Parts: sequence; structure tokens; C-alpha cells
Amino acid sequence: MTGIRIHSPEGSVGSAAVHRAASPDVLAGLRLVALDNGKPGAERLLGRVGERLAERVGLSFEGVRRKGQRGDTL
Amino acid sequence: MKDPNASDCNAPGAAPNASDCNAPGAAPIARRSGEERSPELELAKGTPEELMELFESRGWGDGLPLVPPTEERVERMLTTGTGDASPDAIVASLPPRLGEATRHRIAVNAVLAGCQPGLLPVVVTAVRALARPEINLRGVNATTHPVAPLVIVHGAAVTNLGFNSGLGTFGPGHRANATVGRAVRFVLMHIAGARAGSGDASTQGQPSKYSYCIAENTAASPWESYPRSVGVDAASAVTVTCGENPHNFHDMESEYPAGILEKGASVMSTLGSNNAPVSSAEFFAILGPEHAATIAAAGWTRRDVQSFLFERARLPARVLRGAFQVTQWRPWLHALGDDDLMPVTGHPDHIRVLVAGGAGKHSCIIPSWGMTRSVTLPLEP
Repeated sequence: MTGIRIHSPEGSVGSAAVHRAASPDVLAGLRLVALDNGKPGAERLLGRVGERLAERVGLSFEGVRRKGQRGDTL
Repeated sequence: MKDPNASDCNAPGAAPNASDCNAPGAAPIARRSGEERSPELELAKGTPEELMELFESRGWGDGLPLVPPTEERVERMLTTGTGDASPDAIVASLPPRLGEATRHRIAVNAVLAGCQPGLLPVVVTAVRALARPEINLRGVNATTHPVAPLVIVHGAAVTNLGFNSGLGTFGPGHRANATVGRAVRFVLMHIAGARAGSGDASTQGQPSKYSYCIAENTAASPWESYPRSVGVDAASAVTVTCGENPHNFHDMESEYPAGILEKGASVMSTLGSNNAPVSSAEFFAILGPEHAATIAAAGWTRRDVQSFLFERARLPARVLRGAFQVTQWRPWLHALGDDDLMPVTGHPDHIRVLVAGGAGKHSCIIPSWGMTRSVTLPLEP
């Protein structure tokens, strides 16, 4: 029995307009600021993560900052 | 029949990872020379079972039977009702995968979903709407909320293409509704990459993620068509709003608008809604024809319905403040006293009103995901 050929539903992927900055190889001696995304509990979680990282790798944790509101245009 | 390059699983356009090369039924992808848009797979037998096995192995499809997107079917989809639109033009780049939704690739998904030729322009217009920034598709696809795009078809296309705008418009039994909604979901899964666990983080999902497409019942509406009410003057149009499943409200008693709409307002003003902490959020109030007729018979306009729902869909500010740690409310809402009644959205225009469905005393509210706005576009190929 002869087979059939079908098309893939996925297609190509474009390139991102913005790319992430490269991660530093060594964290020791660097300053870290965490960005709160506004979710409940984010500040507490990120604060703990920052403190742990400071203890482990010797970076300077500068605290958690909040980004502005979005999606509220009217 | 096998392509000579078929052994190259790492070729451009090949399976997402090498392990797919060993998946059951998965003859490696072959790219026909010079055709960027036509990577193909070969099925040895071409049976529905073989297709299901192949697609399941790659994480494609929704678990239900699929129509094989053969060259013949895709070409027919591309050449029916589409004018001279180029199949290779990129209609949209869809996040989170940044997949390039060409008309050809959308047609492949439409065939898979079971669309009849002629429906492609509806799917393409819906994809064009999904790519508009106010939809916020990256968030819609990636959130833990169960949001799904609802496609609403308006105008001449409803009759011409066989959409059901009447009894059971949200339900099964009509191919155009079922397959267009399913095709849009496939575009999101396959091209945008919104698959559960990878690009779609919805905690529980919701049934409307399978298919979510209705049509406006203009003939039974006492008001001007919905697209015209939002400034779109076209023979046919498509609206996309990203929201929850419909929340029904029934009223079999009221002979006046207020009694009906009080129940709609009650459905809107719940603490569980993702809209409650976001004052820019939209609600779609989709009225059954009998409710709409009762409301219009009292002289109420669409604007009156919006105003009444805005006025009555409220909770004490103290209750809302106590329920949410994080809010996106306009400044004037923050200024309300704790005992004041706070509306669950920031403006009457955020309450979108249209008529769909058939006989009976039922209507529904569709809360959005919150940080998304609906889009209405003329139907274009």
C-alpha cells in the first residue's frame, strides 16, 4: 500500500526582537537586584532567594524592586 | 516512497528533537527542495490510527481524531475563498514560540481540525486579531488562568459559511463552529507553542480550550450589529475575546429588563473572577434572543444594558480590598470608601453586549482573563 505525505502544522520560528543579556560566569562580588512581578508573595520569595544567593556566592543583594502597573489604560 | 534526505532528523524544519526520529510511525521530516513552506512527513499506510500515533508522539493535536493534511487538502483550503492572497506571507508571529503563522501553515491546521474549504479566511482573521497587542497573546497563552480565545463570527459569513448563531451556538453539532474554534486552538498549540506544560501553564485548563467559536445572531438582535457598535463597518467580521467558559444566568420570571440583568450582574460580581482585581478587564454579556427582546421592548439600548450592568455589578470596596493583595484599579476606585460599592470593571464600555443563541430564557457572562482586550476585525482573506 502506498503511503501518503502530510504537512507539518508547526512551521518556522522567527527571531526575538529582544534578547536576554548573557549571564555572568561568576556571581561573587556582583550586585543583585530582584524585580517583583507583582504576584502575591513574590517580594517575600525573591527576598529569600536574594539572601540565600548572597550567603552562598558572596554577591551583594540590594533588595527587591517593583515594576509599574500595566494593562490599565482607560 | 521515501525522500532521499529523510534520514536527516536535524535538518531545518525537522522534528523539535532528535528523539522524535524514533517515534512510532514517524518517518523523518523531508523538505522538498526549494520549498520553505512545505516540510512533510510520510505515513506508510495513511490510516487514521497511524496519523494519531504520529501526532501523539510529537505532542500535536488535541487527542481527538484528525484529518490528514495532505497536499491536495491543503491546496484546496488555500484556494477556496482566499482571493489571490499569498500562502507564504506571514500573517502573524505568535508567542511564546514566535512561530510564523503563514497562511499555508494556518491552512494545514485548519485541515487537521476538519475545516471545510472556505473557512480559512475566518481562521486567518482570528489569527490576525490574536496578534494584536491588546490581546496580549503571550500572557493569554502562558498564564495559569484557564483563558481561551473565543471567536465570534458576524455578518454575512454566518449564513454563507454555515455557522450556527442560534440554538446551541456554544454547543456541538455544527461543523463551522466546531472546526474553526478547533483550528484556532491548533494554531496556538502548533505554531505559537501553547501546549500544556510548555507554553501553556493553565493550572486546570478548561473545555473551551478544545474549541470556542460562536456566531452573533443579528437577525434576532434588537440592536445594531456588534461590529458596527465598535466602529467596524464590514459585511462580515470576526471578534476575538480571551476569556473563561460561559457563565450562564437564567431568568424565566422577569417581564422587565432590570430583573434579567440583575442576575447577569450577580454572575459578574464574584470574587473568583480574574477580572475583579483588574479594572480594565472586559466582560462579554451574551444575551439570548428572548432576554434581549424583553430588554429592548422596554426601550433599552445596548448602552443602557452596559450602564445598568456597570452600576449593579458591584461589591463593597472593603470586600474587594480584603480579597486581593495585588490590584490594577484606576485611581478613582482606590478613592472609594470601604462601605462604597465598587464596580467590578472600570467603565461601562468594558462590558460588551451582543445577542447569540436561540429560544429560551438563558444568557451568559464571559469574564476575560483580565489583562487582555477584545479585537474585532473585518473578515479578510
